Amino acid sequence: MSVTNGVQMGAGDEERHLVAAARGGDHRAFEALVLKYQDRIYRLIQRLVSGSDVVDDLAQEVFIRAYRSIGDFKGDSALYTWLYKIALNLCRNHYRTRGRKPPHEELDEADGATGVEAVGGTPEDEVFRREFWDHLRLGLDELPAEQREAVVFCDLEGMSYEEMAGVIGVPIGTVRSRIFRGRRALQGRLAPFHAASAGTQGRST
Amino acid sequence: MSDARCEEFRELVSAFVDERLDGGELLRLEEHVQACAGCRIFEGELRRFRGLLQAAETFQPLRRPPPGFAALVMERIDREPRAQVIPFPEAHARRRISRSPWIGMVAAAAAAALFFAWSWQRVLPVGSPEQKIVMPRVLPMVDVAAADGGSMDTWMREHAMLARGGTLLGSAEESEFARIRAGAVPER
Repeated sequence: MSVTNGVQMGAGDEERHLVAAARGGDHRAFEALVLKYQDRIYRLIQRLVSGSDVVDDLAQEVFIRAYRSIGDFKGDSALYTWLYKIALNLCRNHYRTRGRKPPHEELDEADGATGVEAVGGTPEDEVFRREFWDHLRLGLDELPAEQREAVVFCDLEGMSYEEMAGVIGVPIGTVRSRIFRGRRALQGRLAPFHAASAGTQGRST
Repeated sequence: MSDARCEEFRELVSAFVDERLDGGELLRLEEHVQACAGCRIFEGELRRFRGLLQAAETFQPLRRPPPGFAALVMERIDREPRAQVIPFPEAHARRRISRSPWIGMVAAAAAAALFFAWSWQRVLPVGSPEQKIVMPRVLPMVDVAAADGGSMDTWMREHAMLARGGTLLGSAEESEFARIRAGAVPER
């Protein structure tokens, strides 16, 4: 909640105000929107694309394209879903131009990334988490693009089927089917972790 | 229970664990799962797997944007000459022009003219008196069709008749063409 000209503004109003100002060419308003959404966009791109070297460029490009076409944003959807659409298109283009380079060639780069979120637990827990994430990354990369997008949006981003249908541009039935097929394929890839997790749960209960 | 039948229900199970199933599909699934141990096991596995994916949220090595990320974006926007926001009314007007069906129609007419010019060259002997009469008329007709709001379908039908019949290739072609446009000459 903020106060502008003595009038209290909700988050939605404030965003509409910023969008309107950005459409009028106000750079500071657009920068405020970048600051608001940079974390989400950065996170989404890391989930959709392997290889830490391209995340910076792609994330910057999302906002630059958004700035250029903010006149097209009509406000009939949430701003973040509009930004997600731009990010998704850029990630798809990245996959097309990069080709299907074996993703494990890029994992080491990600492993050496700075700013990795530290999580507590025993060293064994840490090894399990790291290996699980590596295999999840590999599994996602091996999925057909439409299944990867569906699993990332649903299971990692926590989006609703309706939001996904809007961002991806397909009917809800297609979203449902892609989620199912993506999960099935990933289940196979992550089966050892799945079994270990079930065993841990069994022991702890 | 057959595997093929279970495969059909497992997509429903996936939607069910997302709480996205209701009505007839939910009833069908409940009925099936009561009788199918394999699908009950699948539901349990899928729930655990989904929990594992969601847990990855807490320990995946995701990075945050580097400090100064937004400033860097704005610097690039300032630097790039193309990165100019077009004020809304002007952007709207530009879009209206660029999406105008008029431009598409003229482009299609030009393409059709080139096609008919090519096909006439095949029908009429090169350098023949007939070709000399017809060819100069092709491109102006595109403009006429566009200017009088005539549809491309009509224009192409007329020209197909011209190309087929050859009866217009004489001194009476103007009046004949007028009769075709007026619908006095049926299409063959």
